[in-house]
Amino acid sequence: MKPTGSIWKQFDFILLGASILLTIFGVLMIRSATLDAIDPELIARVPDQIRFAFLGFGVLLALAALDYKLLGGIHMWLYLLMIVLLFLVTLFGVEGDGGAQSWLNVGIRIQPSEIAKVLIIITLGMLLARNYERIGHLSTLVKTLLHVGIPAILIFIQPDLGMTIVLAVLWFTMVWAAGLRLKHIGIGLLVFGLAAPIAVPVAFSQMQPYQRSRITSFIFPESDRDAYYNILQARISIGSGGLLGKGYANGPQNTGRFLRVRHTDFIFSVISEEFGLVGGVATMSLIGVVIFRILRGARRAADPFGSLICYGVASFIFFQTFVSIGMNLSLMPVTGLTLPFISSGGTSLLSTLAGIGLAESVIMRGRRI
Amino acid sequence: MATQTSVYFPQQQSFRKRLPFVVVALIAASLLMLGRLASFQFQIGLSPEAITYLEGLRDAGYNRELRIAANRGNIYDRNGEVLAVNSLEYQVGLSPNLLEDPREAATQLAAVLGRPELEMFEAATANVPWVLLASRVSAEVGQRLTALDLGSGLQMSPLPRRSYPQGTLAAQVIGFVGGDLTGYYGVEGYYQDTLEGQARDRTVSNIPFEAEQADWQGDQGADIVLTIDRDVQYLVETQLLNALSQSGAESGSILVMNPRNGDILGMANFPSFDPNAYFNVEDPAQLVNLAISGNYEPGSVMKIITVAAALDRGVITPDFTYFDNGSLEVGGITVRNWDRVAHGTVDATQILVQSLNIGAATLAMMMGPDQFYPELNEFGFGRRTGVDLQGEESGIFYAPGDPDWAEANIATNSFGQGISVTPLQMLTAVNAIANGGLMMQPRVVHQINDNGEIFTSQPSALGRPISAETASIVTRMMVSVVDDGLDESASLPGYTIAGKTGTAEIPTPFGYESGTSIVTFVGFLPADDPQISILIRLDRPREYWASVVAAPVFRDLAERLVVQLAIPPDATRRELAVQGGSISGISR
Repeated sequence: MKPTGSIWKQFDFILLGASILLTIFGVLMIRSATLDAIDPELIARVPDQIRFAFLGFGVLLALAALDYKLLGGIHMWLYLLMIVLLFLVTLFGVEGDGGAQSWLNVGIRIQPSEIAKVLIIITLGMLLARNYERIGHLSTLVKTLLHVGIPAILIFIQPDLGMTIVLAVLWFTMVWAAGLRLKHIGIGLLVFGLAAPIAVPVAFSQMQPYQRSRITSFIFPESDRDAYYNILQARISIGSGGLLGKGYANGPQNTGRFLRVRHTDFIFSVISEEFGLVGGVATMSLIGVVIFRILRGARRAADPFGSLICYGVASFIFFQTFVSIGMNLSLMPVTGLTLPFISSGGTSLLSTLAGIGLAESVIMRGRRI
Repeated sequence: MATQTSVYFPQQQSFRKRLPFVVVALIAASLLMLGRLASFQFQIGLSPEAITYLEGLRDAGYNRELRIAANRGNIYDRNGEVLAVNSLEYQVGLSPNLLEDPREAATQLAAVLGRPELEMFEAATANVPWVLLASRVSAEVGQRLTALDLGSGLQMSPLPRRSYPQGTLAAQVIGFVGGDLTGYYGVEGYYQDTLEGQARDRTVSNIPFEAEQADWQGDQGADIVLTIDRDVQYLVETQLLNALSQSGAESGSILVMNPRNGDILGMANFPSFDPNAYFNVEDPAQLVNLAISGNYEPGSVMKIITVAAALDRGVITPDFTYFDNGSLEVGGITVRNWDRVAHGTVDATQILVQSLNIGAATLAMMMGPDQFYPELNEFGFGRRTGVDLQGEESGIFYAPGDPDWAEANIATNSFGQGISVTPLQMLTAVNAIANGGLMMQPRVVHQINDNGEIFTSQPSALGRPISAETASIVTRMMVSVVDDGLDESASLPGYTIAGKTGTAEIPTPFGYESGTSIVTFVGFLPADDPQISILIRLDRPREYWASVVAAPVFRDLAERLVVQLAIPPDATRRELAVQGGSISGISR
């Protein structure tokens, strides 16, 4: 065991620095997107984001200081906590902007599915680490599918399709990294694949009208004028940014309110309009730095549990980035997933920074090279 | 770094094997996003049509067309007194979340708006972007709200409105401006386009940082100066109300004009309305200017026209006489005098002085339809005078050829029955006699000031129905009417007055109403150099005869007008004329 005082020497300051830069940049972009707003809900966005940023970095440092193995020790309790939270949402949840019942009001409004995202990384990581000797057994596959499936179903019926897919992606990347046999991963994907034809019609009937229109407008762009409008305006915003953009709080698409849900879903369009290609690439690169520093941590982790935590965190950050930017670029349907660090949304920022905290905890206790 | 030493736990092997796939997948996804971003920003791979479409879509919402209405022109009386101006009212709204101190703001707003403080506090703390506080407050309250300095939390939208500082004065001459900022009735209606001016169209950016501090001032509509004299108008309205209360008449009109140039100096009707509160008018009839639209049978006043026509056509000479035997058969009806008495041998002057129906009918029959009806036309009956006011009526008479004309009409028309006229039409015709035979176009607008460009209305003639000689003969006859026929009830010491009464029955679809009348007095002075002409009309007075009801109203009004307009008595005027002075009482 190394002396306790020295573990901070391994703390990844590049990862922390990139996270701080991205969070500050996010606050500035939310300010630009809600400038001159008179809707109290929008006016509150910037102060809210700043509050959650301070809270988030506190959580980051606390989780980094805490040995992740201790969290592994209470993984059953964490799993239980997650299920209870998700049940509470089903029973007492309040509706958010879009109409989905995915929020809990406990003084401040929190989104338990975001918390579940972080907790599932710890509990699934622990499950895989404890079973690594039986990683090739079919029972391991069944365990992991059940482990992720229960919360996924609870989130799915909120309904929050985006976050359900995030859980599926977390399952895939973590069992892949854990070394599950490719045949078993195939079977797992087959289960998802078989569930989809059943789930999709059910989901479609369960979905809020806005969610349905998002998906239909992606597949048949001309079918829904409103959703199609959003995609077109995003395209116009990005297209008018050029190389260097129109300048901060100076984009006609943004300030003229042509771009809808500017502060969350389409914040990347605001960045591209006001800071051009340079701004867009810089944002992507910074998130890239975050992901590669976490993957680097995964390689150097002291144990499979730590390694899997890093993989999980890196994969949800990457997946959400790809989906969020992708929908701004008409590569993905508009799912309402947030752009990590940047998009307005307190719990989302909190879960991202908590993820970074977990990764730092692993990195600090990893091998010295 | 040896591979062997870096293997730390068993799965490391599978991680190592699978990591390249992860890295490749990440890089591929990143390249996809980067490529897409670049292609969006530099329009790579887009057809020119697609670019045009997107640009069109982009620009469509960036600007909007704004129409800024011109500032409506003011209306003044002939001496520059303001009759109609624009004022502002405000709509007041609140953005609660932009208020720095809602409690303090609520206290201040409650005081200025005179509303409960609790209500204001609830509005100031409401969890909504915007609340309406008041839909209309006066300009004065608006100024006090601005002085509160509540910043962007308080929004006041100006609402232009028309204001009439003289209240009900000359309401039916001026008309009013409705909520659509369009003028209705009177001058506001007739000169709508002139007063309104040109609206200005602007293209305004919707983008906040592009919004320039534009010149929002619209164009200015033209100002209008009326021929109406505020003081004369006030006098006329007061006298009309007195006359109505003394005579018991239910409605009426008084017109005061300058027969020399057709200027209308005063024009009053009852009932009337308040143009500042036109929306409270319950009966639309109140909006109507009876002096230009109130068709009625004028009665004996028409005899002036009949006598003038007969003289002008040379059918009679001034020394004409006829024998009045008390009745006259025309086209199956029997004409009788008002007193149902035979007057024996009488001359033309006595036809007017004693107001003899048989005399007037005799003259008309001597002229015959071929001469009588063209004369009525020349005096302007049966068509609008063309006065510059909205809502004028033309009056009606039937000439031979109309299916409604009968032979008896020529007799009844000669003393003002079976023919309808408006008060303005009647006075305009009589003005021709006052003005040496030249009939002037009546008008209410003296000047139009279109942003410094001034158009002054020039007097214009409608025609010359009679010669100057005929005019002076008829004027002398009308002086006799006032001097000899009315027991001094229309006389004014020191002034020679020409006048004529008319008492008309009121026609209904079933014949004439009994026991009630419309009485008229029309006259001008001084008779030898007319400065003003006056028409009094009272509907359904308690007393039946115009000589009793209308003549004294004329005298009371004339008595005050000569003072107000500084028209000197005849003796003074002649004295001054001898010394070479000139008199023009009107153009003060």
